[in-house]
Amino acid sequence: MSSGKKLKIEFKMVQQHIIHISPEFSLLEGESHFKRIRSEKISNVLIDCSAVSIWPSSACAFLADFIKRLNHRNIKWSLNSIPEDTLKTINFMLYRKPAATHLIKKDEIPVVDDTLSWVVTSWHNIVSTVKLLEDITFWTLLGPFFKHGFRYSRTLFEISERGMRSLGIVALVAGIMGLILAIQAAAQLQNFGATIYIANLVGMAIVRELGPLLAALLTAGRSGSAITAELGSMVASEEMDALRAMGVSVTKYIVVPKFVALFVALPCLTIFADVIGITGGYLFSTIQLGIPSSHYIDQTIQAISANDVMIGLIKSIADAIIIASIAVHQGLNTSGGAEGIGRSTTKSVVHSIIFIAIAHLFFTILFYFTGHTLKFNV
Amino acid sequence: MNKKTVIEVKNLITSYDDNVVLDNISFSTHEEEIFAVLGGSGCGKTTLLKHLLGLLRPDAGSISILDFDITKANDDEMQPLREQIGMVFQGGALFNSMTLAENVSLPLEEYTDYSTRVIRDIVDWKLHLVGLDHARDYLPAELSGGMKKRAAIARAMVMDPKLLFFDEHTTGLDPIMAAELDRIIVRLRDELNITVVVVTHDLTSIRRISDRAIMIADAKIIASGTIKEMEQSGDSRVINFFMQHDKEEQLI
Repeated sequence: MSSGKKLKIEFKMVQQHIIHISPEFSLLEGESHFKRIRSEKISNVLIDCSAVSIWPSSACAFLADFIKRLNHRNIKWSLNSIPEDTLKTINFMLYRKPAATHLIKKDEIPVVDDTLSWVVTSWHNIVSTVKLLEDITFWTLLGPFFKHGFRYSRTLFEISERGMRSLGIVALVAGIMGLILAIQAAAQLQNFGATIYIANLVGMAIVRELGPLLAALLTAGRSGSAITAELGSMVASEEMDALRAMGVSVTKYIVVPKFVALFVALPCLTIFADVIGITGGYLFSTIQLGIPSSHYIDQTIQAISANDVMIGLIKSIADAIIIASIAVHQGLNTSGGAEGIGRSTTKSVVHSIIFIAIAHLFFTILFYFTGHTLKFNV
Repeated sequence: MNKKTVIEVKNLITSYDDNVVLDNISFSTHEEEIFAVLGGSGCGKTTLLKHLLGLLRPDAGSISILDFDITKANDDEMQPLREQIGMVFQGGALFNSMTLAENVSLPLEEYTDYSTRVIRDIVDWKLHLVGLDHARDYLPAELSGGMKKRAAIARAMVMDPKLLFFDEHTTGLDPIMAAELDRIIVRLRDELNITVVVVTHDLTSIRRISDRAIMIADAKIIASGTIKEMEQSGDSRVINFFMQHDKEEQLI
């Protein structure tokens, strides 16, 4: 029986296009092969690897990447002349599953975005720093009443380390600052024939602001960073865990001597910076400008009151608390080995400088509104 | 005769962020035994050890040491227990600013009213036990790795603890020094009747010293018992661990 219609059968030969991988197979070579495959609309590829004798991981990764692109375009492929080990590597790169982790749900504060995460972290930092300060206050005030509650010899060593050894650098910077102030002031005051008031300007600026600020910044850079690095490396080498395992309070044993040392050393360094800074101004004024020595000294004594010195000291005590608590907090919360220690040390110095600036601004505003602002006794 | 239980861990679960590190861990150790916690790197052995020391708090489960539940205790309540526990950290964790003698005497100076002479005698005895009589005035930086580990043992032993923990005690040591440390551990257990918990991945050492062990993998205990019992375990991960180790031993 004939249907009248001819059954037409088409035999379409699917031709396999051969790609020869060169011994120096690279992403670039993969790209050029891929471009050709797309332009010639090839649907079946035989990847011939017979020319490659050495298969470094990079070559496997390039080939896996090439195959992934073929898969993405639904282009059939097969591999020829590839060593078994290399095939295993490429199979791993193509079909590996993400590493399995055991996940559990925890009742946590949902972190909406990075900003909220930053706020939460900052809040945790503030809370832990306040707790640390509580602990430090307890051991500093009540420690001496306990047996082995206060390490006197270690505290003296720390005072020497944080204070005595900083004298040189403080003297250098404070002296230079006094000179600069005097030179700048001279340039202006000479126009009015008021060069004697250089003493007032240098004295007041150094005692009330620059002395405490200089001493604090140098201490943050020199001692704050050293404390953070020391505590950080103790954390990394499990020394803190060893102390805790022995039941010895880390705050009492390690932190308090450093804290007390800064508390004592920084006001002393501030007074020292004041004296050297004023001396810098004095030297310039007497030698260069010819102001009589006794006049300059009288003018300085007249300009600076005990109140001004106290204001400077209050600032330096606040600075000591800021530097010590930030340095200790960063040091104790170090994680991540050597890199972590570097990170903590940087944070310690940067945070200290920021908070010192804020504290000085706060005190300046406070003293301004309470009538203790900078005045010239003309 | 049944020996008293020194450590009892029940259904311990702990996690870092969302990753469960220890999942439903339960085991117990008896007095005067050397108990080993085995497992590959990153399996949670050291985390378990820190829980046993009360340095970390678990998410769930309980840990009882010398009949005292440490999971609910605060630092003050832990204090009497801590005086009965010694810990030898992986790197020794000696205080670098102190001499060996000062390191070893620290717990005595903190917790006792002993005179300087008595403390000196005890410290010298403990240093003698670990063969470091000559090094009492050295700083940790002047010591070799093995000497640091031995000094850490002396410090851990100085309060005559009932329980001694070791974290990877043979790491970084040559085979002879590792064997020497193992001998010291066994001798301390025999002479001082203490319980020892060793956390390690060193099977050679465990075969030499341990009475019983547990093996941790994928956050769970996958085998427990004596080493012989563990070797007969049907779990492929346990068999792999032993085979891998034996292969490495042959290569050495």
